[in-house]
Amino acid sequence: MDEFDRRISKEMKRRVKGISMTEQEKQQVYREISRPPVTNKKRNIVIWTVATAAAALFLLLALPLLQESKTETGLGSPLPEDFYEGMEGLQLRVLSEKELENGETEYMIEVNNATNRLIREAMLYMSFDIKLENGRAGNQFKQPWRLGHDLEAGQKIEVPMVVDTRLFDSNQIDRNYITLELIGYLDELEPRKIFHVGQGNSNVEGESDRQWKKL
Amino acid sequence: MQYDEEGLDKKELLESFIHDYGDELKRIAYLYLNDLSESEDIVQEVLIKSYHQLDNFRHDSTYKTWLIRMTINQCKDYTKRWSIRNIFYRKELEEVQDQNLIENIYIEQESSYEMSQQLAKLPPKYKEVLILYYYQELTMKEISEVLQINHNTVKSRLLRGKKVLKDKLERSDWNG
Repeated sequence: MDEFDRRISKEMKRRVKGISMTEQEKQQVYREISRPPVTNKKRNIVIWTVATAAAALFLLLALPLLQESKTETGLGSPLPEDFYEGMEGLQLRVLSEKELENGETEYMIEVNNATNRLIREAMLYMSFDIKLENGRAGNQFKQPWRLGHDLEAGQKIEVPMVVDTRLFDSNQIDRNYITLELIGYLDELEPRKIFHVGQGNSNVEGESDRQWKKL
Repeated sequence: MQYDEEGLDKKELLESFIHDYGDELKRIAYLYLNDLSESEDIVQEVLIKSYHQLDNFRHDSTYKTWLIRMTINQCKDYTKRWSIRNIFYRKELEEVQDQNLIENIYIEQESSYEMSQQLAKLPPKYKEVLILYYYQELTMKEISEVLQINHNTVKSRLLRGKKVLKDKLERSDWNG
């Protein structure tokens, strides 16, 4: 021990000099250990009371919700198996691409409802695929277009979609691959009648029969 | 049921703990926390706990070592607790104890007050080693048994803790 050690040791002892357990503190310890332990039986009663109260409260709160969900028939239930039957007749196709004077590009899209279903309140989305090292991926940035009217069974329409392609980085985006998606209602305007179809279009020669013209 | 070689039963053993070690445990807790009111609670909790845990005591250390270990651990737990009491009432308690408790007669000396203030601010790993070394005058081997840490760890914490405390005291114009 050096001088500092001796001094610290001395001051610690001086600091606590006179500190001791009082008689009151000792009695408190004895009182605590003499206190009868809470019996299991008593504890069980408390646990069961709390559990029963919690269960009752849960039922009370959950019952109205359960009744409500019963009345909302079908909502949230899985789609019927035949929901998309015949929908392969719905064709989404890029017909042509034309550069406008202002630098933007106009794509002419064909929506051909060659099904026997009525398409209602549909939105058309167009996006360019993202380039990857070993392929391509879908792009979450999509250009939307509201069709504005119902599409009868067998009806074919052409939709011009104008895109400012200068915004896209050609290192990241492949303008030769376009994904078209159509989201709307089938036959009736009900939440469970919402459909979603998508089709890829490629302008790379020999890769697809869906090449479009560059005007 | 007898709990030790002297044939003491559980309650008699607790009495011997209180008689032989009660004061020392309270002083250790006080040095650790620098709070008399809390050190009272800590030492009571330790003694009550020791009574209930006597059945599990494996006699791989002395009762004294075991009780000091419990006291240090209890102090550590206390400092970790984040209670309303710490936020709102601590200052008030300190003021009350400073005014009323007889023990404070002995701790009015500025030098030891400053030392204990700085000691209380040290990280727990240094504080516990310093208290056991300087106050309890335990050897490094004994400290490693109490704290259940490696002998070399005790040595390095002691050196580091001593340096930190020394620096703090020098900065605060500690003059004794």
